[in-house]
Amino acid sequence: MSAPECSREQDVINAIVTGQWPDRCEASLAVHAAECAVCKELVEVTSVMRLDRDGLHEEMSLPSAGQMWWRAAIRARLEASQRAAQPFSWLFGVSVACAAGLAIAAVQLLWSPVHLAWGSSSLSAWGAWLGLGELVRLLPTLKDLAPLTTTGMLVFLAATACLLLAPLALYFALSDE
Amino acid sequence: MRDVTLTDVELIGAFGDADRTFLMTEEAFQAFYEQTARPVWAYLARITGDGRLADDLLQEAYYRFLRSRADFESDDHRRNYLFRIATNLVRDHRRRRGHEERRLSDDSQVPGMSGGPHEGDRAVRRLDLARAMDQMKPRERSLLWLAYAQGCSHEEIADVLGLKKASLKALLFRARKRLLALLGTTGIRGGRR
Repeated sequence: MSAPECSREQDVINAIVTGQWPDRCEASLAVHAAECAVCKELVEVTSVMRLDRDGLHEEMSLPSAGQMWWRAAIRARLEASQRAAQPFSWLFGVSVACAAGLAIAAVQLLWSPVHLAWGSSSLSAWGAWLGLGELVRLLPTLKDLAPLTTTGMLVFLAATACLLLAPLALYFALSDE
Repeated sequence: MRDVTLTDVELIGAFGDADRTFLMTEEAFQAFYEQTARPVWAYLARITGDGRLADDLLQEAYYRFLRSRADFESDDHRRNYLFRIATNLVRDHRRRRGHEERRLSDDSQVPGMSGGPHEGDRAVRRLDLARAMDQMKPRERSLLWLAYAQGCSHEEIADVLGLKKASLKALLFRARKRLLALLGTTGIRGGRR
C-alpha cells in the first residue's frame, strides 16, 4: 500500500499541535483539510491524540525536579560504593577458594597416617565393600609423602599462612580508604 | 564484607558528588526536567499502557540521561535523546517480560479516564484511544504518539526510534490507517465526534 501524500500535511499537524486549529489557523488550511482525504485523516488522528496528551498532562502527578535529582544523586553514590567494594568481594572469594584448597590438601596429608595405622588390608576390605577398591589402592601412603614430612611441612604451613593472611591483610589495609 | 549502605554523612556528600558525576548542573537539570517530564511521562504511559510503570521508567530514563556522557548540539537534540532512552527502556522492559503484552481494561492504571459531566465525551474519546493504542504494535504506538501527540518531525522520530527516515512515511501511514480502523470499531468514528 503506497502512502498518499499532501503538501499541507505538516501545516495541518503544526496548527493542531500549536493549538491554532481550527479557529486561529489560516482559513485556506481549514478549507483544504475539509476537502483533502489525507488531511481529514490527519485532523482526526492528531486531534484525538492531542486531546489525550493534554488530558494526561493535566492529570499526572510527577515528582519534583529536586526529588528526581536527589534520587539520582543517591543512586549514583550507591553504585559508586558498590563498584568500590567489588575488588573486596573478589578478594574474599579468592581467600575462601584458597582456604578450601588448603583444607583439602591438609585432609589428604592427614589421611596418610590414618591409612598406615588402619592397615592397608582392612582399608582395602572397606574399600572393596564400598566398591572403591581401585580408589583406595591409589590413595597416598606415608611412605609416598615422606619428603613432605619436615621441610615440605614447613613450606606447606608457610604457604597456608600466606594464602590465608595476605588477602585479609590487604582487605584491612585498604578498607579504611 | 564491607557494608555498602549509605550513612547520613555520605548521603549529604552525594549531592556534592552529583555535580561531579553528572555533566549537568542541578539548575540546568531542573529547567530541562520542567520542560520534558510531562511529555516523556505521557509518552511512556501511552506506549506501555501502565501509569505506574511509566513512573518507574521515567525515573530510570532521567537517571540514565544524567549518567550519559553525550554531547548535545541543541535543546531539541537533548530532548530527543531522552525520548530515545525512554523508548529503549520500554523495549527492554517488554523483552524482559517475554513479550507478554499488558492489556488495558476499564480500570486502567493510566489516569485521565475520569471526569465530570462536561468531561464525559472527552473521557470516552480518550478511553477509546487508549484501547485502540493497546491493540497496536509497540512501534506503531511510538510512531503515532511522537508524530501526532508530540508533533515531532520525521527526522526527530527517526532519531528517537532508530528508524530510517525514508521508511517513516509509509510506516506512519499504515499506523494511522490501523488506528482509524480501530477507533472506528471502538466508537469515535461512529458519530461521537
